[in-house]
Amino acid sequence: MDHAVTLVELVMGGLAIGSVYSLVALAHSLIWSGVRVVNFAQGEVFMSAPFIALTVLMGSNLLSKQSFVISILAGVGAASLVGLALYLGVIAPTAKHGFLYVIAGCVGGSVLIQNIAILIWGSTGVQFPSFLSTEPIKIGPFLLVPQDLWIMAISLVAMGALYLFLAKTRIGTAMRAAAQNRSVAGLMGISHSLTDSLTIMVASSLAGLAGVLLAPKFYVTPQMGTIISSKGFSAAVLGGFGNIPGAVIGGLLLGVLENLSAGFISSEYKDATAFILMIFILMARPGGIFDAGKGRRA
Amino acid sequence: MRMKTRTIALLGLVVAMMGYLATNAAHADEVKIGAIAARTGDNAALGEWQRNGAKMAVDEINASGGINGTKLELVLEDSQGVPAQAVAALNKLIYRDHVAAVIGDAQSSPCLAMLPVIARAQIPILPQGTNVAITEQKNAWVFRTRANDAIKFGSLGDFLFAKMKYTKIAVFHDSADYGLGGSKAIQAALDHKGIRILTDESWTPGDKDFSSQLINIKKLNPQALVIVGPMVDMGLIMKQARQMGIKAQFVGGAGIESDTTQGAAGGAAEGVIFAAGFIPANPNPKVQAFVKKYEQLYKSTPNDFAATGYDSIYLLADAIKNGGKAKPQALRDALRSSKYAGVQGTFNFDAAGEGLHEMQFGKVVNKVPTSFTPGK
Amino acid sequence: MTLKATHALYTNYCSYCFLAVIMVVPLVFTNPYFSHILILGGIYIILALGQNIVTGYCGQIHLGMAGFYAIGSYTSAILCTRLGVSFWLALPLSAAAAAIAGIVVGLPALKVRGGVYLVLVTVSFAGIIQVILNQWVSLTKGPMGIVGIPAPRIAGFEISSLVQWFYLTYFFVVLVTLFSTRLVHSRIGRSFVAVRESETSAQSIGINLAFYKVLAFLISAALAGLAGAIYAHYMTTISPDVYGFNLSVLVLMMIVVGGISSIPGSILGGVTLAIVPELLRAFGSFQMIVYGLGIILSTIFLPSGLLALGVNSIQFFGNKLSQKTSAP
Repeated sequence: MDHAVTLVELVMGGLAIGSVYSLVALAHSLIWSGVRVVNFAQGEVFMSAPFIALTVLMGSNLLSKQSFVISILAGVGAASLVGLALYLGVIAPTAKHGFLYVIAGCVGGSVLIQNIAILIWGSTGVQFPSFLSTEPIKIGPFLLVPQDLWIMAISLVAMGALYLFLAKTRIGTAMRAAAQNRSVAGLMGISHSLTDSLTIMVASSLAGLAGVLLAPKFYVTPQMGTIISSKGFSAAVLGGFGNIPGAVIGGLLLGVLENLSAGFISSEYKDATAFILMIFILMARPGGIFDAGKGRRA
Repeated sequence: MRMKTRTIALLGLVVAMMGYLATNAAHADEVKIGAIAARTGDNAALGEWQRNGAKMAVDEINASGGINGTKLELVLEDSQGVPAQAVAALNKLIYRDHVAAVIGDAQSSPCLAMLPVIARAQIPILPQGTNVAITEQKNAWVFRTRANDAIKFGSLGDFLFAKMKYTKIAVFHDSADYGLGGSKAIQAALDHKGIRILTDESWTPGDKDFSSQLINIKKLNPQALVIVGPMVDMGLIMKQARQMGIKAQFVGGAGIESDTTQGAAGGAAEGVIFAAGFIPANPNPKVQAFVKKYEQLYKSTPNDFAATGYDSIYLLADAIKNGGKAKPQALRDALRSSKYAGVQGTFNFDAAGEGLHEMQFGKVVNKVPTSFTPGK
Repeated sequence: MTLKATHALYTNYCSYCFLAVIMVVPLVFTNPYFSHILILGGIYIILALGQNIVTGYCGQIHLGMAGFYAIGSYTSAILCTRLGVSFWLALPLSAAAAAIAGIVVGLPALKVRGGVYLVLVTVSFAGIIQVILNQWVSLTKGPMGIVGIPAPRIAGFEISSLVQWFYLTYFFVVLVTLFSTRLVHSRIGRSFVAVRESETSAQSIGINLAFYKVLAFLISAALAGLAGAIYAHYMTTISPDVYGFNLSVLVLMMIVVGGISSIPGSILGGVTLAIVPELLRAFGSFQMIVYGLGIILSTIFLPSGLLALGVNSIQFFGNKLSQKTSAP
């Protein structure tokens, strides 16, 4: 019985952090499927949101529900702009030269943005006020943290909204068309620059949302994007890079796997276990879990 | 045509670069002290605290006329926490800036990497890393200004058992040398008393989610949970631990009582017990003056990294005054015989270079770290 | 000399010209600051050459060089500090250990399809190695690191001064350059390029993809291991935090900045990435901002790397010369 309780708590914790990984993974896969590039500086997009949100919050001098919402929207909006700037300024110009250059360029972008953040906000970081109670609630024998539940809920809502946007709106459909077949979509009059920019902005706002969701739980520092970025990227690869549902599953899976291995194998080797598992998954399914077969090549 | 201009420009740049690197900085009529720490990258906060403390000290000294009329100049360099970069920074400080002494690095691996260079260059270094190996290298130029891990955690282990009477203790540490070394030292101290710790969990520094390890710890129901690692991580751990219903008394090394940790922990840091070289609430007037001025200048409470930065500068100033000049040998001898009383306590450098030999114990009461002696 | 001949001379002997220039430096500029940077630069060159073989010539994106670098460092450090093995024996053993690990990475690399997946595989390997270094305390002393790694001895004489270290390091750099040049112009090198250009075409002319891919990983790992061993003895102390993802990224940038798929490019790139961060110290707190900006600009505007600038400068001066000699 004891083990079962532990298992459930570990899984819940894993799902919570996993949903954040999913958001970042979604950002990656959206961008890949729509624009065929990778933003290796996603972590900095992620990090810019809580900083801007905090700045807006502090500037407004209020701590009401409204100012919270406004600051979060501002943060997410800022993230979409940072992502767009990265795309226009770094990724698009380097993509012409090759994948390797995108990686290198994004590294430069990452260093640039992170150090600008250090210059503006200092390196010690700031605490983001929590808008939720941090007391655990007891459901049966399980102890759950409301923040985690909210994170999962909001992530779910965001993913749902994304789905609706892509499936039901004109612009969303245009983006999907461009993703499926770029040249034909162009022939049909869909402006590439529009769909590309939109895709980047939507994806970046997801990453920014992830940043804002994690901020109260974690503490906002200029370096917070680094680890999440690699986890989000790994999750996207796991689910099949460019595969939208795969990104969601990949993120949740990674979060749960990490927690389970830390809980049942050893916390010291938690990261190593995650790496080993990923390698094995990739060897078994070289295109990610939802390997699309010979069709899509990342 | 554009290619040609670019090429010429680059060639010109290359020549300029070579010239800049190879030349020596002009000698000024000041005493220069170098400071090395991570100022960018994951551990940038350490560099910021070191700089704050050191700069405050330099400004104070210069405002009152300097040392025997000579002003001090602080030269800051970034090691990014990377050993090879720290060595490069050290080389630059010694061979281009001609500093009289160096304080830093704030982390242990860069310190260890710098020691051979110091041995060759023969100028004093005041490292702030706490790995015991730093003073085990038989390097006569090393003067450590923070108590090392063995002293810190050894005394903490003693304290927990002897004074607080805990027998069920769990340790949660990070996988970097501070955490691992600290954990080992506590276990060694407790082993002496015949106590085995319940469990030893670890996390990778920078990790943000500790639910899996905390679940394991909760199962064992410890009386005290010792947490060792970076400040932000420790704060998050305390927050998440309380959220999960862990009721153990939190105990930690220096840093756990800092603003940063308290900020990250929310209210969970209330009541945490810690061992530190520096406690802001120490009623000693020198400490109070330091804390008040620091809070005015930097809008935050100083922690032991800032205190070390501050003390190191004053130690050097004191040594220069007593030794008569800022020459390496004189400085070294003056430091060795120094009895300077800083905000961390009185320094007394033994042959290996350890300056502080005791810890103070504190408890966070109403968000303020206060000195603590168990009244039980 | 015709322009074409000059160009040919340049590209064939470029590497050795660069190396010759670098190696003269400590005789002219005796500042130890300079020497340390160039020693580091030499170690970087070896790393860059390794990266170039697997990524530049064979086209396999490899973001895990730090892992093999680490294996080289630790193997040598452990052999020398615990077993009293001499530097000269430890060196090939370290390279061999890293090479074996290289094979281990090469195998999953065969299965995955495409850039991002390979990135994840290589990053994961390097990540596993770093965790092992941190956790297997009885072998590696974990985060406490290994201290007191002895200096190499040549005929009873210990390498101690920076100048001695400089020439020892560049002895290896020259060797590795020679090796790389020969490799690249050999059948193996051409097979690498074939694999890079088109895997299906390469297969159709009978190239065993698996063999050459794994070979590329093996060789690059061995070179990284060699660099790691030299690094360990030079720094005298090592600890796991050095061998992180950032280092792998740095090595990749060396070949991007210097010039991909070009040996002189790797030399330029390695030295540049050792020197430039130092120069940027002049910018104080803006050091890293300028660095980030520089990388962005270099990847956008100099895709052929710094080397391309060199070629063009030869053209420029060559033009000037030929104009003079043909004056009426």
